[in-house]
Amino acid sequence: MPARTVALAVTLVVTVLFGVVAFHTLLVANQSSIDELDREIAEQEDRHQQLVLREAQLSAPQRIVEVAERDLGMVTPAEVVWLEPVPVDSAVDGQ
Amino acid sequence: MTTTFHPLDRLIALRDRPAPRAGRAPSARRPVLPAQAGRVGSPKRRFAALLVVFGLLFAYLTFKIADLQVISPERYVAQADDQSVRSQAIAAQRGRILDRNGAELALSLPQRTLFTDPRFVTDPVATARALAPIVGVDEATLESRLVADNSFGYLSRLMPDDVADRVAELLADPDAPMEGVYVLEEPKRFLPGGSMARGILGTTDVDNVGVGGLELMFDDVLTGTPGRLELEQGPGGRTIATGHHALTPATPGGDVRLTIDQAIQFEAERVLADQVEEMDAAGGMAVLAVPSTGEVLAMASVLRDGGEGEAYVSGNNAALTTVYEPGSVMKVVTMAGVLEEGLVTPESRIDVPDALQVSNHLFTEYKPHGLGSWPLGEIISNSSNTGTIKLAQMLGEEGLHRWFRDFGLGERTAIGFPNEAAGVVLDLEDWSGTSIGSMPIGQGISVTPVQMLSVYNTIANGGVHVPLHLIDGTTDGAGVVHRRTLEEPRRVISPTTAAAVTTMLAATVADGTGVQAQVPGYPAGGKTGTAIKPYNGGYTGPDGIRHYMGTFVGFVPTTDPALSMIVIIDDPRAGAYTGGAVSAPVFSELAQFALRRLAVPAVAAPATAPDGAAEPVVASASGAKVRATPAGIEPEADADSAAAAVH
Repeated sequence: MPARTVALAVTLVVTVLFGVVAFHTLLVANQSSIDELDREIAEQEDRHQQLVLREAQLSAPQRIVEVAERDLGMVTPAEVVWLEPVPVDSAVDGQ
Repeated sequence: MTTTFHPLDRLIALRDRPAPRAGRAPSARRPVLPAQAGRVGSPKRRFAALLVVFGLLFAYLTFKIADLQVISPERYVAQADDQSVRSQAIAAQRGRILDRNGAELALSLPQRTLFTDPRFVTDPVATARALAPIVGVDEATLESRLVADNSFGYLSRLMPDDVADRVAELLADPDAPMEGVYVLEEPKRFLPGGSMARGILGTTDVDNVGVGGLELMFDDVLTGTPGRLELEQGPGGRTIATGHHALTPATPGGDVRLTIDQAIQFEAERVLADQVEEMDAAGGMAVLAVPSTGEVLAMASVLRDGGEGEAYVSGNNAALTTVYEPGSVMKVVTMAGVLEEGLVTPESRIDVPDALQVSNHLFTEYKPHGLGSWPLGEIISNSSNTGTIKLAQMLGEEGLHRWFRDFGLGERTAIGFPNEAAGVVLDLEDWSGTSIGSMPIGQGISVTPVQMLSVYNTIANGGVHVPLHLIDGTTDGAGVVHRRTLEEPRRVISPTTAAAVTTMLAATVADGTGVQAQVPGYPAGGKTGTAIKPYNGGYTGPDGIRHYMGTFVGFVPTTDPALSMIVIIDDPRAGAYTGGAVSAPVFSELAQFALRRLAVPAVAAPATAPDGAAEPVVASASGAKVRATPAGIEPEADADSAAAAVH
């Protein structure tokens, strides 16, 4: 076998091996990145759930009344005044 | 000197060699010496033996490789996986419980739990000393868990976030390494509204399993299916990209959507608690519903420990799980029965005495009035005991019993709540001689507040029983909505009978025992009830006096009922104790709030301005009339007449 062919074959094998190593390194680096993203997703999901709970707690009537009475000095009215409509026929009769 | 070799020499040499003996091949062996007699034979044989040995070794290796790779690789794969594959359970999120508008009433969040594997703990004393002040568990307890003869033990479950953060800092501190102590996440149930509706929602245990209320009733819906993640990892905990990777995602639990309105529920509990404290009562219940659909809007139950102190929301949904003798609110069943059977007409009058002997018991009126001929409506609006008993006697025991059953008394409602009571309607053969006197007026018969409300809903619905329900529907983990299957409505009484009874109930609120239940802007109908609480077969309490349950139940507006409600005050001791005095005001206050919340328009009242132009009239909660003018709001001159016109 000519020496040139042998040299070519060796070069090819080394190149392929180098490619495989480089590809594997890339794979490991990307996997590390994926692991990091997975962790971040989990953290953000936890944070989202915490915020859902916080939002529900802030919207709860009990908390709103507490803040109104304790922090804003508001009181439940002793008497509520409601508007009462007049029937249409009365209005027509009156015209 | 050089030597040459001629071919002739070769021929001469062959000729001079002695001829071999016949039958014996010339031997190439060297002579065997006595010292070499025990050795393996020639180099050829030894080479052959070596080949055989290597052949056997190769065959063994081949077999072993085949065994490892082809015949039984599982054991070794498992061993390898044990060393490199990390398997992690993914907890399924428990579903939420939502109110009718989607507000979260109960939801789960992952919380951190501290646990130990004592096999890896190197310094239990120092570890316990460092953790104790943070997690709030004493050192001795922690230490005993850290040295236990097992491989798992909880140190602190479901830690609050601030505690968990401090523990995480401690575990990450390189100066104080803590071997054998780890953190995992577990879901924890939260009620954003605090104690609101806790009797309905129920509870979960520390493992997030429903143990009461709706959490128990819908545990199979709310509980999801846990998933699992398997990853092949290197020594540093990094995932091996080309390694084993299997994910079975967790299926989250479904959501349960209620018919409850969060705001109405809160207001019902607040107003009820205020009234219970003001009336010095032991507790109270209130249930609000939409009669036409059977949707329960609120179901409140408050208590006071020992009948003293501040009222608080009960963990027991008493409106469904407890029974009581309802008193006069039961009278509408008798009235509806006699009207439906044509024994009387709405225009009929009957003689109503102050007292009526039934078997061995003398039934009396709450307020003596002398013998008189009363229209049927007044029997309801003035809550006549003797008049109602006389009507019940027209029905007879069998007829009265049938009407109780037709209105759904003595059986659980369609709600299907855990531990729901069925009430007590005695079988006919168990009736005593006085039953026909006591049961029509709501004594000697037990119902749940929800059953009683259901009777009035039937009247509000023109005689059709629409089953009450708490659950609007469920949403499974995939987001598919499943509407709750409801029982079919059924007719109990005719629309004519229902309308006649409604008129009587409206009169009760307009100028009868229920005037304090009036709702400004809306014509209301209802009935008061004041029942004596039974104690061990009698009606006298351990303290030698009678105790009462004050009830008001009704619906509003009577023209097109959009809201029904029952309010019960248990054992009021502040003076007033009748349903009209202690419960009706709560009905009024809650109805004003709930009707606006439900955007039910006020019923137009006839009012004409002096100049003929219509002006908006303003009603106050006290019933006093004021009129809106361009200058503002001023009192109306003839408040009483205006109120009478409205109600």
